Amino acid sequence: MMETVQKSKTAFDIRVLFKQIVPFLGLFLVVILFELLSGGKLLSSRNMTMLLNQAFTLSLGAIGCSFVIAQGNLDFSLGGIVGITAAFAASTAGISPLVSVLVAISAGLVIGIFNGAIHAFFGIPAFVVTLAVQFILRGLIVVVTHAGTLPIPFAMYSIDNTGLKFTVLSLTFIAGYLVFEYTKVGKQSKALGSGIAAAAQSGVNVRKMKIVSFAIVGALSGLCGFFSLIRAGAASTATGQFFETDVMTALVLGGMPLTGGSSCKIKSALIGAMILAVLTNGMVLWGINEHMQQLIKGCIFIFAVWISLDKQAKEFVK
Amino acid sequence: MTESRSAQTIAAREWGKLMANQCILKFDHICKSFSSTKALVDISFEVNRGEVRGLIGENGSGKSTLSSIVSGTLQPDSGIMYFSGNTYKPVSVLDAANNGISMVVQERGTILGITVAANIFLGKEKLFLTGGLVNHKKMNSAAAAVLKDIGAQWISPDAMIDNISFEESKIVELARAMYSNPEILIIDETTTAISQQGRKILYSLVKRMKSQDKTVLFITHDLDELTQVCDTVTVMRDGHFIANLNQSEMEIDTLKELLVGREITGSFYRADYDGKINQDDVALKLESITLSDKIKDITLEAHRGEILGIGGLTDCGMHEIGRAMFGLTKPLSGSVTVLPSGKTINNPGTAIRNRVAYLSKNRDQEAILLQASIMDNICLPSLDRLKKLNFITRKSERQLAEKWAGKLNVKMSSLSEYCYSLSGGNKQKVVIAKWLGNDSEIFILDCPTRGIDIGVKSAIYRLMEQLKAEGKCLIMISEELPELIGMCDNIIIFKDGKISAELARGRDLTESGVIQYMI
Repeated sequence: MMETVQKSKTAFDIRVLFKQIVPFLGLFLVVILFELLSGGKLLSSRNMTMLLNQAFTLSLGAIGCSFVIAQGNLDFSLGGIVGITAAFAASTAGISPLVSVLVAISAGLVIGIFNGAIHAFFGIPAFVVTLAVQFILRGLIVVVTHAGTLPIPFAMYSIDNTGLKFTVLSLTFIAGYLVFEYTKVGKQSKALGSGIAAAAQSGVNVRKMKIVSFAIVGALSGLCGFFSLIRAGAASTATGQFFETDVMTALVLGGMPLTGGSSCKIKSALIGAMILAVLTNGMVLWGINEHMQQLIKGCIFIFAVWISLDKQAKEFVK
Repeated sequence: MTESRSAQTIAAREWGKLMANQCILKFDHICKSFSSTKALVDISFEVNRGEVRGLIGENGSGKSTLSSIVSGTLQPDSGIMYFSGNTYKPVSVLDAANNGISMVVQERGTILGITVAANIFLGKEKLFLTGGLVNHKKMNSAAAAVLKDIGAQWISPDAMIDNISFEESKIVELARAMYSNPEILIIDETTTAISQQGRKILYSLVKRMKSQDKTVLFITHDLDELTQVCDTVTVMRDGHFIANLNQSEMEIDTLKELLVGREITGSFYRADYDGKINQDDVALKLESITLSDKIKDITLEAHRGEILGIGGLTDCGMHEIGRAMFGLTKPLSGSVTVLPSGKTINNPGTAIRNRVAYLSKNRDQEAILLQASIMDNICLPSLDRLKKLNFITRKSERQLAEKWAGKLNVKMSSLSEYCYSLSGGNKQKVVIAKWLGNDSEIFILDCPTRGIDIGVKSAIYRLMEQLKAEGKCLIMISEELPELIGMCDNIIIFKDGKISAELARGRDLTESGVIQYMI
C-alpha cells in the first residue's frame, strides 16, 4: 500500500517535471531548427531586434491573458481591443504621447471590464461574450478609422525603440509574476479554474475576480494597441488581427493548460511568446508565405492544446 | 397407505425445501474501487431462493455499491456473479430487470413531469400502443390494477408524480418493480422514507415474494426492522464481508458489534448525555427565513458550545437551509445573523469574514478543489489573513497548511500533492483543515461523514466534541439518524420545508422516535 502510494507519487512528479521542461525544450528546438534552416539568419543581431518586436506585444497580451485562462475562460476580443485602442491612441496622438498611451490603456480597461461584467452578471459564457465584442470592436474600428488609416505624428516614431520595450516588458512581467503567484488575485484566479463552486464556497468573490481578470487583459491589450500603433506608424482596420489566437497559441505552447487551475504558471506567457515569435519569424525567413503561415499556426495550436491536456484527470471543454 | 402418502408429502416437502435452498445469487470474489477508495474487497457469499436477506453496514461499508452491481448500475473491477447458476454480468439496470432483478433505490427513483402510470410502465409503453400512439386510458387502467394488486389503490394512476408525496412515489416505485415480476427484489433503505401504511404494503410484498419462492435483498439501517423482516442477514464493513447470520443469531447487540467492529466500541458517538447549553449564548440566528414556496418561515438559533442537529428526509429543505446559513442562497425574506456582532450573512464572503465555515454535502464538487494542492486548498479561505501588504508568501502558506494538515493527521505524501488522489476521508480532513485554519467559530456541516470510512468518521466525531468543548457552534445537517442522536445536543427535524419537531439530547431518544416527525 505504502509502496504504491510512493510509486504513484514519483510518477506524478516526473509528469509534472516533464510538463515543465517541455516548453523550454520546444523553444530550444525551434531556435536550433530555424537557425539551421535560415542559415544563421535567425540569431543575427538585426533579426534579434525583429524577434523582440514580435515577442513583445505577444508577451504583454499573454501575461494579461494568463489570468483569464487560469480561471478556465478564454478571451477572443483581444485583437479587437488592440485594434480599437490603436485607433483611439492615433486619434489622440496629436495631443501628447502620454495622453495617447493613457487613452489606449483606459479604453482597453473599460472594454475588459465590460467583457467581464457581461459574462459575470448575465451568465453568458466568456468565449461567446468576447467573440461578440470582437465583432463589435471590428465594426467600431472601421468607423473610427473611416475604413482607412490613422497615422501618428512623425515625432512619435522615436518611442518605438528596443530599450523602452525591454523595460516595459520586464516591468510588466515582474508585476504580472508577483500578482499571479503571490497575491489574492492570482491565487483566487487559479482556484476558480480548479473548481468554481468550491472556490466560491471558500470565499472567492467569483464575479469580482472574473471582472478583474478581464480588466487586466483589457488594459494590457490597450498597451499592446499603443505599441502596435507606434510600430506600424498608423492604425488601420487590420491592426490587431489574429492577435487573440496568437496570444492563446503562445500560452498553450508555453505550457499553460486551457482548462485553467492550479497548474497555471505565468512564465508560460513569456516562453510561449518567444516560441511563437521564433516560429513566425523563422517561417518568414524560410520563405513561407503569409497564408501558409496561418495554416501552419492553426495546426500548431491544435497540437499544442493536445499536448497540454491532462488526458486522465480532466474533462474538457468549456 | 396413509403412511406412504404422508411419506410422499414429506418427501415432496423436503424436495420443496431443497429447491428453496437452492442458491439463486452468488458473489464470487467481487472487488470494486473508486480511484483510491476500495469500496468492495473480495466479497463472496450466496443468497438462496425464497430467502429474505438483510444487508447491513455503516455508510461507506459497500452495501450500496454491492446492490448497484447486482442491479447493473455499476460493474465490478474483478470477480464473478452467478444468477441461478449462470454467470451474470448486467450492463445496465434494464439488463438486470430483464434478467429478473429489480431494485427500489434510496433516492427518488421516479421521473418527474410524467404521470404515476407513465412511471410504472416506463420503458414498457409498447404494451399500450394503439395505432402507433400510447393509449393512456389503457395504460391508466393497467396501472390502477397494478396499484390495487399491491394494496395502494388510493394512488391515482393519472396523477402527476410531482403532485404525490415522496412516500407515495416510493410505493409507485415498488409497484413498478413488482410489475416486472422479479426473481430478486432489492430494497435499498426505502423504509426510512415511508410511514406505517407504506411499510405495511412493503412487508406484505416481501411476504408474497417469499411465498412465491422468490428472493428479497433488504438493505436497512433499522436493526429492529431487520430482525422482524429478514430470515438471514449479511453484515458488511469497510467494503469487507463480515458475517452471515441466521434468524436465531440475529441479536441486536451482536449486529451492532459486527457493524461497528474493531477498536470502535460504545463510544463511537458521544458518551455523555449532557445536552445542556447556555440558551443566551446565541451564535447564529435565522429569522423567518423563506427560501421558496415550500421552505417557509424558518426561525432557529444555534448556540456556542452546542452541536445542533438538523435532520429530515433528503428533500425536506434542511440542505437548502444549510446553504442559506452560509449565504449561498439568498432568502426571499428573513435574515441570517451572526451574534454578538449582529452582522448579516448574505454571501459566502460575509459568512467567512464572520468566521462561519460550511462543509457541503457535495464534497468533490463544492468543498474541495480536486485539481489543486492540499496547501492551496487549506489556504484559500485564509488569504486575507495571510497577506502582508497584499502579498502572500509561500512560507506563510506552508506554515498554515502544515499546522492544520498535521493537526488533522491528513495522510499525504506532501503538501503539494493534488487532492484528487486522496481518499474520501482525507479529502474531508483537508476541507475541515481549511476551515480550522481560518479560525472558524460557527461550523455548518452538511453530511460531514457521508461516504467516509469508519476510522475518519470517528475522528470527525471526536473533533466535533473537541470543538464543542472549545465553545464553537456546530450545526450538523444529516440524513443519518444514529449520528444525529449520537452527537447532538438538540435536534431540529424538518418535514416538507417546515420544522416539525425540536428534540433535546437524551438516553430515551430512539430512531423510531425521531422518524415519526420526518414522515
